[in-house]
Amino acid sequence: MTIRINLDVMLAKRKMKSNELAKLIGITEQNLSILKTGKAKAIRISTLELICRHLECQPGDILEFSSDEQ
Amino acid sequence: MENANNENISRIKKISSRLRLACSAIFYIMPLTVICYWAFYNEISEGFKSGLVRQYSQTQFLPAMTLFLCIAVEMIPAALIMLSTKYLSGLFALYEKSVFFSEQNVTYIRKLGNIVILWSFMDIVKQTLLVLAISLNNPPGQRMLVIGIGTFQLSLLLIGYIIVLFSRVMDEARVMNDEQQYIV
Repeated sequence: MTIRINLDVMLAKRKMKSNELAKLIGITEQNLSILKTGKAKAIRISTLELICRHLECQPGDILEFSSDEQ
Repeated sequence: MENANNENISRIKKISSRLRLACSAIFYIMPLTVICYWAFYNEISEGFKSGLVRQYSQTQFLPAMTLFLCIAVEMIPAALIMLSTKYLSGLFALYEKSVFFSEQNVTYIRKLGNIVILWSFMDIVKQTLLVLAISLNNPPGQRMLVIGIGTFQLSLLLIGYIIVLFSRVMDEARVMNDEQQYIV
């Protein structure tokens, strides 16, 4: 069971660079990288809200659940 | 809020720097003090002389061999103090670098606690050996072997256990800090 982070996909769709998004949502590039690479243990609702606002998407576009059986 | 936090951290860094220097100084001063005190024991004024010598030695002038033994015995707690100042220096050096919750911090605090616990036991041994060394020049039958536990040793033991407990709490804080780093 894993939660996949599709932030890279959304960034590509919106043609936005990671550093731009990091600046917009007020977190460091390093923290955004932790999120992108799936190393994050938790994501704040406020961070998710800002990501969705600036990428004009829904939380479900960024977070995807996939079970190991699939 | 952030300014107050920065101010607090800069204060921690400043105090840590001073304490690290003090610990480094104690590390070198401690053995020198012990050696000088016993090496010149016969020359120092009465007020500074050890109560143990007055109590257990029949002569107030101690021969060279006794003084050498006293230095050797006194070096046991001195070595433990030196070791604890070494760990404290390391801990303060980490605080200077704004490292508060690393594994190294926990290790230093735990080792410090263990040293204090060891010190409480070694102080009993030191007391026994020191009285033996001091009374070695007494005539046969009047040499002493004293074993005693006082509030000092019990306090050290208690403080040691508190420091070890504190290190465990710090370890929990370290785990939380590690997790916090992965919360975006």
